[in-house]
Amino acid sequence: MTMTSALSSALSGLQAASRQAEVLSSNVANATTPGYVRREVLLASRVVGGTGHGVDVIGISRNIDLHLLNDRRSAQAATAGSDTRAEFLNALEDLIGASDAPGSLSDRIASFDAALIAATSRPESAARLSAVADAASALAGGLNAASDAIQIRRQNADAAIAAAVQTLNDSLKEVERLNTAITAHSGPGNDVSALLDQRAQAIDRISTILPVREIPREDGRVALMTTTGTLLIDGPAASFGFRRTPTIIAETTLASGALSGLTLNGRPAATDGAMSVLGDGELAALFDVRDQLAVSGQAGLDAFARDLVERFSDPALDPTLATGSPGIFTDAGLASRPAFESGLSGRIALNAAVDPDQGGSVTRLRDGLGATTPGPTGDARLLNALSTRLNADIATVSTGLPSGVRNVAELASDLISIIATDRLSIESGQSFAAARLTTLQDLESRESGVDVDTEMQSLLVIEKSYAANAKVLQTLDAMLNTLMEI
Amino acid sequence: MTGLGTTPFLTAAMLRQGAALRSGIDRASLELTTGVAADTAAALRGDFSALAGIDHSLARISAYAAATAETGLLAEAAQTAMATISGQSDELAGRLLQSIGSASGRAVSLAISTGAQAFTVAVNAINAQVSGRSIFGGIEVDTLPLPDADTLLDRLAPVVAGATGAEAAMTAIADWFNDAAGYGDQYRGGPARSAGPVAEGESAQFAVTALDPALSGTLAGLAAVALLDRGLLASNPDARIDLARRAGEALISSSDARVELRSEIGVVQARIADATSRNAAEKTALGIARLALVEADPYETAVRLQDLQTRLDAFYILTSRLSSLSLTEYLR
Repeated sequence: MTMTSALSSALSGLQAASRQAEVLSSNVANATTPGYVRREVLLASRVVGGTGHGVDVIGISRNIDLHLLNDRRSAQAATAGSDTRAEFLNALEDLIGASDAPGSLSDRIASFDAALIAATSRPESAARLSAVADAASALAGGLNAASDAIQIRRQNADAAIAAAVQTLNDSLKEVERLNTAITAHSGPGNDVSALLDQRAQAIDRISTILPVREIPREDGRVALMTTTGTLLIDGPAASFGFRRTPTIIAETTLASGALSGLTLNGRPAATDGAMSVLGDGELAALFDVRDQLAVSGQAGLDAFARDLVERFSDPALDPTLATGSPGIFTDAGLASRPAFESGLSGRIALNAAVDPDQGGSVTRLRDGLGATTPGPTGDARLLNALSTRLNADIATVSTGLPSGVRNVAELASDLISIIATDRLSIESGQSFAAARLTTLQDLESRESGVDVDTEMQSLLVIEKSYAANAKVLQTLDAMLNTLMEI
Repeated sequence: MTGLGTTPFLTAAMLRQGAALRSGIDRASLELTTGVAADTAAALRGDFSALAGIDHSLARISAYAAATAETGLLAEAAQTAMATISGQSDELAGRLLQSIGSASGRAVSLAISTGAQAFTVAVNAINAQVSGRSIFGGIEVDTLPLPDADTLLDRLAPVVAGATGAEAAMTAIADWFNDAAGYGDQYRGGPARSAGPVAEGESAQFAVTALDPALSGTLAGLAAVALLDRGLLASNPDARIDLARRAGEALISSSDARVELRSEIGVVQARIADATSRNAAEKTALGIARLALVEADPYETAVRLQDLQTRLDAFYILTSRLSSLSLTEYLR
């Protein structure tokens, strides 16, 4: 032990204390920064020639628990996925409407039925007949609006997929770039924490879109693998491909080839089912909305619309109708064609023969749709028959709804019940996913977050340690001066 | 803001719990004020069939209100018309037979001349309209079922002109009123009205037209008197008295048919009254059933609200205490 080695030990102590203070100040400053992981200075005693000579800063550690991180990320993806699905099903339920909601499908049917009953009581009243035509038109219009809204939702989902794929590719590239930078800069005593934070944030962005697990590799690099086992990055980043479809209508489906699927490194990738590369995240949910949920919602509406069109296009109901011609409701002017059921709810319209706006006359509701001359003004037989037919139990022929024998009101309530049940089940999954995410986030911030009290305690220690080292220096200086004065 | 307290997860956790408490209070106060569950689908476990069925029935019952009121009004107006016709016929029959009993030609002539108006009154009663609709015109509601009384008599007069005796004249008049080419041809209304719905699964039919035998039989008796007043059989006073007697008898014998017709209309009215009260009862019952499906128990909601309020109070106190718990404060 010499005076110089004592001096250098005291200096190293001062350096270590100031390095600790620097890291601590960064911790305190970032106490509320999301995604910031608490850093700690790693110290080791400096050994020269077998004896200790001061202290060395050997690195900066980030307090992370990889298992917790991976779990939190998969919970984050699951939450984003169930949020997307629940949001869509809620919107779909609102479009069709609960039976007590004004403007809902059930409400429009009840109005149509009530208008028919009122018209039966006074068939000569043009106002009552107009009310029937208006209610029928509102029913058709409600179906059109719901169908259009579903297709706009699909279009939005398609656009959101394109945006998510873009973010995904950008973030994967960023992880690749940061991997390289971290390898280049990591070395004893170097602080790459900021780069690690950036990379963690990029991976967080990815794991909202699809769940990934982080696998540590040598030199500080990480590999990313989806929970379904697809390697996204291990060296070069994988690249996803997707083409946005600007206009989507009911007939545009993935199966028909009119919509873009997902490609991974140029090869087609499954987006649902057992072979899906996506796992349970936002991207999978968006594909689910576009290709499953919205399509089956549309199919239910189309089945309803087809029942409505076919129910009234019956010559036995209205003798003035020719076989094969449409009744009150038409498929854009034509009778329903089983092969073209898809999108029918978007095309269903009031028959022009009874629509004054299209040159028809509401009196045909009383006299027969094909009537060429006005009949007796007090004849309620057809109106009565229409009302009876509306409430008649008829077998559902379309596959868009479960088979059964129903009247129109039951058909509408079955339609909304199916959607509401789906929504409730998704929502219970959603609250589970949210609770899991919250728990994991709490755990993670306990593990990796900044506790200001702890930092302040450390500050006290650092302060004392700095003061002690300074005192040693001062004393050594005094000793050296004493020597010099001899 | 550097966060509540110093523990890292506390700020986020407090924010989350505060938001959860407040959304719970929003929901409970909404349920307390409206009395129905905030999420209907959740209250029904996703099965709307019962609620939708009730809502649809309620909408139909509201629509039946118009149907029962209007058919009821029609039947009511028909009763009034029938009362007029019956009153006129019974009075005229009484007067005619009384005058014949007194065996005075002048008394009979007086009875005839005062009774001649009865035919016009009866035709006008049959042509009566209620809120712009013909009562006895069947499904042709915009046209009057019969031409006016004078036109009818003008058409009838040539048919009877050739008759020599009272019996022949009365038979010709009665036949004309039964003849599809006679009275039937003068009828400008349509077939009878069809039955209309007045309650769930129930319909009422007001099917009476001016062609009803009770009406045409009565009109035949009244027309005979009106024709006598116009001078039928003027050359044969005995035949006139005989025809007046036959007309009086015809009016008396058709009286049963009139009573039957009125009771037929009465049955329709009773049916409508039944339907109206049934609809009202059903509406109340359905309203109660509907509420039971979607009701949020007010006691349970109030208790929940009270509990949430207490917890929110405690939560705010906790927040203020925690915000001063920091080592930094003590190190100053």
